[in-house]
Amino acid sequence: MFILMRLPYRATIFNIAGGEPATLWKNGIASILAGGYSYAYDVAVSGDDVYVAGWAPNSSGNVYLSVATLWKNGVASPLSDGLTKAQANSVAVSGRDVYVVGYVTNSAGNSVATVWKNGVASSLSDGKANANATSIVIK
Amino acid sequence: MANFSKSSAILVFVIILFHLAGCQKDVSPSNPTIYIVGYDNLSGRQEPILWKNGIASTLSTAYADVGYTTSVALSGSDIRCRICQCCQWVFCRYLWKNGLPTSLSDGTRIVTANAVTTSGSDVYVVGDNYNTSVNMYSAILWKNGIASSLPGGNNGSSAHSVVVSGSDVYISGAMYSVINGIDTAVSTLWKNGVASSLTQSDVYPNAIAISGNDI
Repeated sequence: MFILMRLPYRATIFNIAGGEPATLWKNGIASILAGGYSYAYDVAVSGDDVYVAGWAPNSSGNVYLSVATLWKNGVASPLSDGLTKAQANSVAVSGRDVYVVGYVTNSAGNSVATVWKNGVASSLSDGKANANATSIVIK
Repeated sequence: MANFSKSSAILVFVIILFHLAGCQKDVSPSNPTIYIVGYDNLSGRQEPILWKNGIASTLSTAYADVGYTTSVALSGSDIRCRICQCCQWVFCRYLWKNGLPTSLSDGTRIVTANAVTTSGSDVYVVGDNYNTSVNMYSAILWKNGIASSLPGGNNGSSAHSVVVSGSDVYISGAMYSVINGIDTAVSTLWKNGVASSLTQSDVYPNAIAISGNDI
């Protein structure tokens, strides 16, 4: 007889002073999602897949030009180009479709509320003023 | 005749292809309704917004200042959003149900509602209540609008996320303690109000997802 011990999944953000990377705990075991100072804001589970939304520094390590990022089972998919600051706030899964919401900063310096469906971005706001999409649910 | 037959065969083939394409569309999953909350500036000031399938609608607010909508939950046909509104240092006081606000605070304390979820007909909101008399945050669970404090450290607590599994309510957050004169945040999971400290200090659990028996 097997007794399966299961411990928590957790997506965490780290304290600023420590500057530690975004981490997902799966069954108590920590997985580092990104190097440097980074955030994980939301976690969703679909079947055996675990999705985390957050941000990571860009390819130059610049945290001020953060890349909106979706991690699927620990593997990062950048959702923005790292040329302007962006962030993923929330993730939801519907069937085989994965939706992420957050913002991307435009050339005018305004944050544009954005939804990504399977990695393809659509703007929710017109970019004339700051906007942000913070949470998503699907019915 | 041979040419006609060939053309007819191609036509039939094309018709079948279109038919199959139509059938595939019919059997594909129905289009989901997507609810997104956040904020935008549609009328000269920042306002909380609910996008339903990409169509924005403003959640009107009582105060003419910054509003953020930061969490959304569905229960049947009801849509609940928690709104963070900065007004005279009284934050995040509203839970919205189908566009109508319900105050979570008596207005005398700084209240932050960090997450909302539903289970059946019950609505759970978690957040913090800042008690100015003792300068301390206290993690709060509102179940159907009734507030209850969660146990914290000697320097308070805060709650960031809530999930419900069966009859169990799990809340993630942090307990604050002063240890050897140093402010320390201990990441915490409350199960039905009973706290268990997680191993690392100064780590803030930000979201929980349930998969089967996992938390």
